[in-house]
Amino acid sequence: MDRIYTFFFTQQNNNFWLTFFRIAVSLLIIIHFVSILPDFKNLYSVNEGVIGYNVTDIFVPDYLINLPKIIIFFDTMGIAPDTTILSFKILFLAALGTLLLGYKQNLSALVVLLLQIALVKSNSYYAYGVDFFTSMSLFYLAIIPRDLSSIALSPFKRLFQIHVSIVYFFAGFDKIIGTNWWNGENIWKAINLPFATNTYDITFLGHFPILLTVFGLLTVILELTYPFFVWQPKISKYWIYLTILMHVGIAFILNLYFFSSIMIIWNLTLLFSFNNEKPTQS
Amino acid sequence: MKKQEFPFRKKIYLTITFTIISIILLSSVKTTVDSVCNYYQYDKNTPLNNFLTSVYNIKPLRVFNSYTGFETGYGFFGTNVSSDFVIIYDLLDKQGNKVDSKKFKLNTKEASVRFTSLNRLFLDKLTGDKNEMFNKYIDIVLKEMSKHIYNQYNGKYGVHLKVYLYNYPTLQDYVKGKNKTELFLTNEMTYTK
Repeated sequence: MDRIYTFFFTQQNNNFWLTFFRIAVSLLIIIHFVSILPDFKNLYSVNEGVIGYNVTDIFVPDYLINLPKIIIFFDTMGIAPDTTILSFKILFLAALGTLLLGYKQNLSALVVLLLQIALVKSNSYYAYGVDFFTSMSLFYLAIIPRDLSSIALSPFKRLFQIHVSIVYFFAGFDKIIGTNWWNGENIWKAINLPFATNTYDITFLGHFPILLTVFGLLTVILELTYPFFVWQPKISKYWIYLTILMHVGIAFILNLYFFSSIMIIWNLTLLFSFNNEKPTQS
Repeated sequence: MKKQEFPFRKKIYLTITFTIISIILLSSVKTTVDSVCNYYQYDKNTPLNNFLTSVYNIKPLRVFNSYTGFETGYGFFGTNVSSDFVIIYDLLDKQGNKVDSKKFKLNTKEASVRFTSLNRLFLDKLTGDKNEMFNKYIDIVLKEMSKHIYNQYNGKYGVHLKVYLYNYPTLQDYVKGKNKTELFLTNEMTYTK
């Protein structure tokens, strides 16, 4: 039991990792949000979207408050949908501004989290990996205290570190049990997905199947062993750099810039979080 | 002495930490089991899967997961890279003749990427044991999309929307010289007024 407490409650020297995490996540959400503004109504309105909310709402559980529900609620009070949407955008960006500046970090993060959930849960079919990682990032920013002397800082930092480890372990594990990660087929399929093939043509790799097989296996090994190597002080940063390199590749080859960005932020945050502690002196 | 070293608040924070780690593990294992069962077409009705599903669906946990993002799995293209779809529409004149043909996309690249998540619906139709009601639901979704395109052109054209399964040659086939993408029509919808 003592070892568990020692592991979870270490003295914190600085919270640079948390400051980095807060600023990077805030900026990413702002850029991500702005990037879809020309399509905002197409994705998230009640009646003006590509698919009407009355078609998608069957997948929205009663306990979820999303933007269309908010629009409908204010509409019944005589407030036009356009006004509600504009107010939502302003509120979202304002809350992100306060989070970016670090003003009442936990409260700001909680507000942004609720608004972000309201947005992405408007239509669950438009959500993908980056949205879940954004929500989880905001959750951490909502619960992790900035105060270095807070007892909660150390265990919640450990929680984040363990979470990142679990993420990559399962990313690798899910791949290793798929037969096509052993022969290069899945890497080949991924780089030739329709949304991935617009910018860079790397089909020449198809002439080197052994290379694709090696890429696939290296990806699996990198992810599966992540939780073991990132906790080794001498190897940690190199493993994290390799993982970041993998995400840079995913960003440019699969066009998943925002997803890759948030994963790089998580990795850098992990890297910085390992450098700020010394064991508690008993 | 020990109790003074580990005050009550520390226990609370440690309990919260372990609870969240358990939730993360539950979501990870649940999505992994689902992914494996789907890919290898294993029977999902196993004691392990039933147990995971029943715990995963406890309402307070579902609410927590929904509001924090912890509901997600971490497969990242595992167990298998899913097949994808391409949505193409033809614009039809009043006589029903094809005037133009375009790939469906939104104004911004990111919104278009986001919209491709909808393709899960079409994949579910092909791979899942979905019923007739689900097929009707997909038709409604397609009708909505067609109507949206129709309105974009101010009703000037009829719309013939087509969903194609996108099939790029496998690595094995590519090495043998096959390099043409195949598109298999899976759904279609014509919308005119």
